Amino acid sequence: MNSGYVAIVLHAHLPFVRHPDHEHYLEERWLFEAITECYLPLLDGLERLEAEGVPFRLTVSLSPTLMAMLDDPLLRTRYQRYLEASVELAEKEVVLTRDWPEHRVARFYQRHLKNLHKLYLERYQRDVVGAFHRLARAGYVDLITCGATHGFLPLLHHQPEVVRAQVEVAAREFQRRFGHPPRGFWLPECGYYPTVDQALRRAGVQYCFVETHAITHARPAPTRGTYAHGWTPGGVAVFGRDPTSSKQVWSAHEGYPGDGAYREFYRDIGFDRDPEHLGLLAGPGGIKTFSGFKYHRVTGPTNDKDLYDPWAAEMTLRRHAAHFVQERARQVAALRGMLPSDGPPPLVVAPYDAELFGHWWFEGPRFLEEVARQAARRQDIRFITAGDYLDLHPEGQGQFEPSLSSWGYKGYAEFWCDGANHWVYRHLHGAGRRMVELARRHGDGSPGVRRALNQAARELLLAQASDWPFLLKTGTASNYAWRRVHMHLQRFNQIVDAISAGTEPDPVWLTLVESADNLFPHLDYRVYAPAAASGE
Amino acid sequence: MMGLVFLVVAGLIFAAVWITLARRPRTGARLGPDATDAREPEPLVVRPGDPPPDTSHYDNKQVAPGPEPGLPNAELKERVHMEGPKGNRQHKPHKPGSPKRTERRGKSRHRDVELASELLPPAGAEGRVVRLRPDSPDRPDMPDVKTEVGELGALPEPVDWSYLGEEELNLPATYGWDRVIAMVRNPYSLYVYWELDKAGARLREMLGEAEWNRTTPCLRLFDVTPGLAGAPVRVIDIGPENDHWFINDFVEPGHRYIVSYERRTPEGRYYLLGHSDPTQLPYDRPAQQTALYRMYGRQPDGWQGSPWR
Repeated sequence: MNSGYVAIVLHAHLPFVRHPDHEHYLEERWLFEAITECYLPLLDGLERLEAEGVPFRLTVSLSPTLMAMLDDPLLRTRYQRYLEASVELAEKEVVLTRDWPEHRVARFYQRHLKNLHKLYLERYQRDVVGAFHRLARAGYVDLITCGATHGFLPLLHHQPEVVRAQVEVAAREFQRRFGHPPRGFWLPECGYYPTVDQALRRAGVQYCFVETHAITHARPAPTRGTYAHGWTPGGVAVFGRDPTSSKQVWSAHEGYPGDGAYREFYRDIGFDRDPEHLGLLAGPGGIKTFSGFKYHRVTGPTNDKDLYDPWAAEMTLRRHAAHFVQERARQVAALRGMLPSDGPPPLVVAPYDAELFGHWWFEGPRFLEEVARQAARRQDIRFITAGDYLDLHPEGQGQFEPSLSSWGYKGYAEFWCDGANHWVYRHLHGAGRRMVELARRHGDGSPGVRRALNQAARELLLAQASDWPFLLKTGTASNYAWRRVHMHLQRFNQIVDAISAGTEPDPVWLTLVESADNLFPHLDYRVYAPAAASGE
Repeated sequence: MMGLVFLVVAGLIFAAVWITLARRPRTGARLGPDATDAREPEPLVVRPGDPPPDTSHYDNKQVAPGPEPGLPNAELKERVHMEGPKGNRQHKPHKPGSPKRTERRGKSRHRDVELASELLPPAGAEGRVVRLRPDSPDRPDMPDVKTEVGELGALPEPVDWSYLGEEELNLPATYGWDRVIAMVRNPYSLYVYWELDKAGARLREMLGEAEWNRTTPCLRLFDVTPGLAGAPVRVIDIGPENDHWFINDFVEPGHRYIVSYERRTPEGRYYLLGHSDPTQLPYDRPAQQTALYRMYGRQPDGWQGSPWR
């Protein structure tokens, strides 16, 4: 007998990084690594399940910036080059390690990368978003959207038009790609604040996900905690993250990825081999960086790492998958006894960063696949999506006002507003106000003005990405983040200064900017003018 | 003699049949009838307002039991990836002394070894094993759902990117918009920044240089939580060079505040330059009131009242 539900949610996002002005740009590899290590293995595993007839349901949030990059012809070409370089290096490694103990792992990489190469070029024909879309149409995956450029909404909330643009642009982009509006919305960094639901509702969004204490600290107190959705005053269903299942996968001390059998992330041959041997995978300018070839396993709290054993990792992940499913069943059974009997059956919501699976935790995509297999064998729990649960039990646990929260450090906004990055907001708010003013004033501008303001809106959205304050705070790639914020705001101001002065920006310059920041080709800047937004 | 020949011929035929059967490729086992359904998937597009989709075919199916669930390894290592989402790639310095291995040894050997030889368990060791090549006929064909590629970005080659003129990047010092913005960092902390050039210039002109110079800038914090009087709870002296402040004390979770930027004279007279919108801090603990209590309009018997709202 089915006593409850589990919903696994994967949030896939990367900031928009595209540098046509450089042949090799280190930060573009964030995307390449994620495709190789996360998105392709994930699709491969899901399609294997589909082919075997294993029923599964998964919610996947693809951020609009990620989709723009996955679709971009330049980045597709560059990724293909990267993937081919990986296959080539794998073959060189097989030869090099012929008499070494690493040989077995090198052969494993050779097969693995050849398979990915075949998938990307032949099966998906470089269209990763299309592959997810096919799984969605086949009924296995629920696709949802996210903020247009992943702006952290609680720190933009002083300007409702700006928040609305983040939501609306994402929703329209989703509609354009998939032919229907998004039912679900991943709040960037799980950043919820009271009244954000109005912007979501306006864009037709039915549900979103929040951090645990957004629900547990809600007013009035929800009777079923995070184990059923509730309705915000604005009429959006909120699903709270279950802390137990998250911890089992995420936690540094109790989580699965720290097991000694799994692949070690930090030991990479990119730091050992010569650049000539690494070929294209060597860092530009002689920088030592990750190549994706990691021959060691976590082993334990030691620097003396053992060699990776794919077979042992496979057995461990199967054990962990069985444990995960067993624990969810136990949790659901216990909840069934604890919760009031007059409401909907418990739902355990387990959201994760998609890049955890594959990039940080190499075996993660296989783990998810095994979880689906294990879950299909059970009668007592069902793995479904949040949208399914909403259809089955629309009433949830009634209405409450969730608390301001995020899933970041300490659960609030301080990681994105700190000594290292607070200066960003002065400029983001100032630019946001200029954008709203111009959108109101030029509601029916000339084609030249419209084109310029559309690009200004793109630049503003790109500057608002939560990734820049995040990187500024962590100190990794902080120079790059600083440069990106300055670059987009400078481009924005240059356009807006020209329009404010009654002229238009230099068309050659504007063409260059358009071709560099080319996401959201159908963006309409009037999304910032309330009248235009409500009229559609 | 004939019997011997017959036996030899029969033995050869038997061996040939045996070898043929043994070498026949085995197809992977399948789970139930859904495997064939998967070839032609029904499009499932749910729009808001539509009736709920039929998800009955996702019901769990009883299949052969898997291996006994085990427990995760107790010894787990702290890993930096737990600290946050994407982009947080810290380059760990590699242990020195590792030899650089670049010389090629021998001729290139291109060997495509079956995945099963190392990754998958031997047949029967782990129950059902299904392996698929990417182009396996078991997978449904990729339909034409190619996403639209962006229209922007077509440029004739070669492109002179230096025309963008972004060797130096600068942001404006002001936006010509007088404001005091208070932002919530956590239940115990507010961040306030301000830009008050116009209001400052007006006040300076109104007061005159001598009086202006007697005043010093300060922030005043008003608790405007419903039910409270909105009295100033704190005055924070700040230097004239500051354009932002982190208020990490004096504020309480669940309360609502207005922060004003003012100049005050030594006698305690305040000149307001600007103030923030009311800003509500989040609660840091669960409510004791459930929706039911609120609906009844009174607390149940024995209710002592909540120490917090």
